[in-house]
Amino acid sequence: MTTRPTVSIHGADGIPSGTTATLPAVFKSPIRPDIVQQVHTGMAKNKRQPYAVSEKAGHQTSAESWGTGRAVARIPRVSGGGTHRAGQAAFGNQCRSGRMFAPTKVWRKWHVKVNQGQRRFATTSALAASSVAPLVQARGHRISSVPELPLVISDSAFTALEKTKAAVALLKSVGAYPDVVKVTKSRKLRAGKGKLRGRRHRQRRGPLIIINPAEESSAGVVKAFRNIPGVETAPVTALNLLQLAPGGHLGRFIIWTESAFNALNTIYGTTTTPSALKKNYLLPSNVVSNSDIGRLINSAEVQAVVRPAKGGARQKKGGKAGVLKKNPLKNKQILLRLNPYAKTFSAQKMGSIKEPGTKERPGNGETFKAIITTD
Amino acid sequence: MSNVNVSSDLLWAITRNHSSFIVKRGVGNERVIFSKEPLNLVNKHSRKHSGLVNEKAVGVLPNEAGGVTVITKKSHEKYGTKPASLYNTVTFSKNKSQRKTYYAVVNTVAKKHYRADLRQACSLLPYLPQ
Repeated sequence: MTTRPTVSIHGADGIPSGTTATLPAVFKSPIRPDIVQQVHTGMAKNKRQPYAVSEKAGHQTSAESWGTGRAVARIPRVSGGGTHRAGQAAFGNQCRSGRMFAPTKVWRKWHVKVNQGQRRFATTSALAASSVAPLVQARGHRISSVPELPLVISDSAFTALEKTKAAVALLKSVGAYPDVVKVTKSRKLRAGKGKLRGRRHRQRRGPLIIINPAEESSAGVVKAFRNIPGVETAPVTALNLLQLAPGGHLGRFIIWTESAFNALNTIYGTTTTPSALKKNYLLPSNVVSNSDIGRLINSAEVQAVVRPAKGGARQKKGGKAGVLKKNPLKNKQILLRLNPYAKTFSAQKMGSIKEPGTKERPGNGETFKAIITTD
Repeated sequence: MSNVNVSSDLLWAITRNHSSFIVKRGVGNERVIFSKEPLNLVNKHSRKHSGLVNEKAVGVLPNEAGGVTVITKKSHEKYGTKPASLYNTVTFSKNKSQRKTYYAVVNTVAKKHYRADLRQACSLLPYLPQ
């Protein structure tokens, strides 16, 4: 890379406004789905609320075991008479109205501490992936009409944006609306009890709009977008991995406001200049500067030191590519290469020379006759 | 503009196990992983046929007029980050004979050194007019 790549800034009409921004260094961070997934699993657990069955459940009876000799199992049984409950087994997890096995406790370990360094790594990784069109498509976003990734929209498009109608118009003009349509179509009734617990519907995630909270218009922008299905807004200063990589899958479709995009270098710094807002933080750098394996293998440096391919025409596997293995039993030249004596062998017809010898068979000899005629 | 830290090989490593286009069918030995990508000629989820991962890929689809649309990817260097302008489409009318359409598709794909390795995949396409 000789020149630093630039990203064009699109106007409210979805046409490049002519101004460009250099690509912030965070987009060059290593893309590590393994780290993102692991961090996501941990972070997703941190919003949970404790639940447990009642401490008393299954133990609100004075059952005692009847002991042996009554021809029934020794499980505690409800005392008394005059009701069906009397004599029924109690307490055990196998019993009707018994306590559950290992009753859940509120003091379960609900939350997972994820190291700050790992969280930051995952965030930068998710941001980098959000600028790679194939990854965004592989996440399921509909971006075929999006002019460019990362999609940056000029601040002027957001200054007076307060109505949802205007927000929808903006999404349409920048080609992001098909992703919203996908969300609307995906809305389904949730399976299971979640329906009763405030999670009635499930739906896909649409574009994430990242704004700069320092901008005056940001509050209005949040309000304008909040009633569009699947669309979320996030402040660039407090990005959340759960939004950048929902489900732990890289490649969320992100729409940047110009000022949020330009703030990225101050927030994350580069691989050499520390971040202005995070203490002692440098962006992670790639272990391999060129991840194109084909180019690495075919590079002059590697080709200069590789050994020649093993095997000649005789060897198919491990031999030169495109060389056909020939059968020495059928192909004379190949046979001669393997067995130079074959020429003499066939010229003198050594394969069909009869060995001179007697026709003596066992039982035909003198000794046998002598033995059989004795006495 | 292309991203230096992203290559086809890396993309394949990432999307191999997680992709919204994957369709898994069958069990045991009959397990097949298909792909719903539009630029996948044989609809198989593989490094060679994946239209998302490869910088050059081909899609042959039936169009509304009853003909065939051939989609190819433009230069990755220039258009890799521009999803809306990444694709080249060529349409063939349904009035063109089957043989001519076939030759035209092969010309676009294989003979012009675009993806010569996909020649065979093109010939298997059921979409071509019968």
